[in-house]
Amino acid sequence: MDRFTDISIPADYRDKQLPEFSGNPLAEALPDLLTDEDLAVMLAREPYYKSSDRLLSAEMRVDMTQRLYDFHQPMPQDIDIARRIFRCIRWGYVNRNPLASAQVSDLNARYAALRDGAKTLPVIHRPNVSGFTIIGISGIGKTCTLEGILSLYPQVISHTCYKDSPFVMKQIVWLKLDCTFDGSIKGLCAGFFSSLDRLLGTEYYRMYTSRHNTVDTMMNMMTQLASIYGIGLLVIDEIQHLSTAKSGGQEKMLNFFVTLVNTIGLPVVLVGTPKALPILQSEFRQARRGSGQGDLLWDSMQNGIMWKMFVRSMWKYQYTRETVPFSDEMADALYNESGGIPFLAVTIYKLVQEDAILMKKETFTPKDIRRVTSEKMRLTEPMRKALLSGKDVDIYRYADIRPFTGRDHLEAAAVTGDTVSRDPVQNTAKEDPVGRAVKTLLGMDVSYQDAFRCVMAASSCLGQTADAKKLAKEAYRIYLEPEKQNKETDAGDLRNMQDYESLKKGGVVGGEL
Amino acid sequence: MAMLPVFPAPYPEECFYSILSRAFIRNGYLSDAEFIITLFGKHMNMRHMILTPYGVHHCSHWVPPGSGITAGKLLLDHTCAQYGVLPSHPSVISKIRNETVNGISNPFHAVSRMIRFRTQSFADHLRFCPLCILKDAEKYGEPYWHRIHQIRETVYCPTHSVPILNSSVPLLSYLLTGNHFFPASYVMDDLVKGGLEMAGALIDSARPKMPACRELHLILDKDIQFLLSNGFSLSETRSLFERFKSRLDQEGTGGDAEANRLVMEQKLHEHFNPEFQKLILGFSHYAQNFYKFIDRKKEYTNTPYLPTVMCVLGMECLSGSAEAFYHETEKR
Repeated sequence: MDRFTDISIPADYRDKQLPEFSGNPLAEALPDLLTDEDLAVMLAREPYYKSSDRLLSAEMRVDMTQRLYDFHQPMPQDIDIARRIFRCIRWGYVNRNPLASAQVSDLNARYAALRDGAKTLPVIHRPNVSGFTIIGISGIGKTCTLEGILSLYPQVISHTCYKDSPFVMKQIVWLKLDCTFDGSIKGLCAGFFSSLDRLLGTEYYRMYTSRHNTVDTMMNMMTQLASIYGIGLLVIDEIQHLSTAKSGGQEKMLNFFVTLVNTIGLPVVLVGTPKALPILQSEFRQARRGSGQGDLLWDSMQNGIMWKMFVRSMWKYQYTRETVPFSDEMADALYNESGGIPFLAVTIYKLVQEDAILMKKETFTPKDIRRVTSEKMRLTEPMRKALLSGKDVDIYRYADIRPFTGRDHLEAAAVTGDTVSRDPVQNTAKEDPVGRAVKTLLGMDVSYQDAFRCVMAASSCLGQTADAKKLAKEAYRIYLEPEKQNKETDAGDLRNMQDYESLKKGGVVGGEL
Repeated sequence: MAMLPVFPAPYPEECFYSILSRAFIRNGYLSDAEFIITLFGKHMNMRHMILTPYGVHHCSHWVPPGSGITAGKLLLDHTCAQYGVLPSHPSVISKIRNETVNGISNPFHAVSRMIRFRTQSFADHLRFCPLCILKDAEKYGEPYWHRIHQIRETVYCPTHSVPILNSSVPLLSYLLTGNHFFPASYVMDDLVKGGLEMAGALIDSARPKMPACRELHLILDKDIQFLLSNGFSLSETRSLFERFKSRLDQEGTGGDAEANRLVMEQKLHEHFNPEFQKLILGFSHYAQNFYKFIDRKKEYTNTPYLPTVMCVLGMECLSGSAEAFYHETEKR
């Protein structure tokens, strides 16, 4: 109990303007929806940096390169995941109003089943949202992105009074657990109880992990507690650990997640590396049918415009005495050494700076990037080579980082009912108007940060169905807006020669405009 | 003791024990003893929480300020304190009222010291009105234990005028119920599922065992209901006794004390069991002795407790009104 620190925030009820959420304190206490632009700004993580740091001693600068790990550049993928997560949380509460008599009745029925020693709890809830699955190669930034997204919502909301009536409840908006290294259910349940104790100051871990409690009891208690505290979303990370579970363990745990959805309507998000794909596809397929949010296969980045945007954003965090300018060559070198995995790229960028400072060169070249990587990242070398070579025989040895095949995409689509192209690369390009719009703006000499910000703003104005051309056009209009205000007395016409040429160059306007 | 992550909003007329039983479920406990320790920091006999305000002062540890759930409110609206203190001397009642209603740090000490709650007031079982159970289950999604149903001298449900029945949970066996939670939703599950048909059958099966004087009991039960909510304020204004008097007036028997006494004696003969008649009539014209009796003076410590409503009636019977009763006993 001593370790308990109350992190809850008091409930602030807001009209959600949708009848489904009205009268439900759990839904009304959630923050309002964010625009894509706000999301892009809020998900970005920029480490503390000032250029005068370059004048500090070598030891200090080497130490400060550690700050690079705080860097996070939101990608369109992040916005997509954020939207899905917020949708799951909000709509997951629709059928879960603690003030509704049906909900109270369900809670009591589950208590009666527990008290009478039933092995399973009654399935009496109609789930509204079921959650989704994120599979991405190791180091792509799944956990970092998820934690960033989840942190936009308060984890615990403290209710005391709703509409002038007492309503004392701690609502857990989201909970992220890691699948245990051995994929055991008992370990997962223990982690759940422990997390609740940390958030609420309770003693569930001591009460329910004792030797005389069976796994079934623990699972049932977990279900009941998840319902009691109105958990909005349960995220299970490192789901690939299920591959090491004992015989029957995989199936049991995946069935348990389905039970959570069916019994109390709790949306569950499973996150893992491609190693988890065979497990999910073999055991979970039937259960995942009807998933409302679709599944997400998160591949390593392509060496395209988004990669350059990522490297460019990271590039300013330099601690060498001499400024090393960003170039496509540098971005290519980082790509080739990291295999398009952002985490590895950050590490390489950090290491190459450390090397330059310690070797007193105070600058570096693409050649240094290759050298430092081969010297200091030997452990990951076979995996990176396998990733870049694209050869199945190598890749399957390192299942955590194997890229997705067209078959994987089709398998995922079969589960979610989506239609996809057989070619994942083509598919990504086809379905990513944001990326294409950003690329268009970059071609007009708009900075990477501004391009991304404006495209996100345009996306929130036009909706997610807008095509790349419309997005780019709107984004460029947004980009020019402050400039337009500043130049109120100037020509005031967007079609001044320079801008018009830029639009034309980017293919946004043509002769017909 | 710790702040509870969930504390259920009390339902109208719900007894304190029932609120705690629901809190037991809402907080995800399976062990009664664990939850009692969480609530009170030590083992407690939960049976006391059925009628008395035993332990309400811990409320400030369980719920955050601003929720509207306070020890004072629990005391007034969810325990039988207002009813239980009635036979006490008006000055005592006034003191309790001031200390509890007007907010003192620990109402428990004041009330539990002075309250005249008798073990005899406990019924044999947790009790319920079948129609209340069904109504509550429909309205709130769960039934709960009403405080008035737990008072032994309440025979009929003042709301539905049907017999109050014993549940399957006995109260007299300490070992069985002393430190256990029996939420009504769990105990009454069959009735809720059985609906009106089952409720009707239960009521019909109870009718033959009910006392013949249904009308009088209904009046008394409504009085008990009234006293439960207004005991403290009535003790100051004395309108409680006026109310009793007007009740007699309505029956054409109001007026002087002697007439009242005779009517009461007659009613006692007609409607109450011989044991009670013997007890009250034994005090005839000896208000001082009756005072000693209800005040549990040492010569009466081994005699049975008298239900509150009977004490009030006894005062009326002996002195014409409770005010006159106390006036008389004080003079002596």
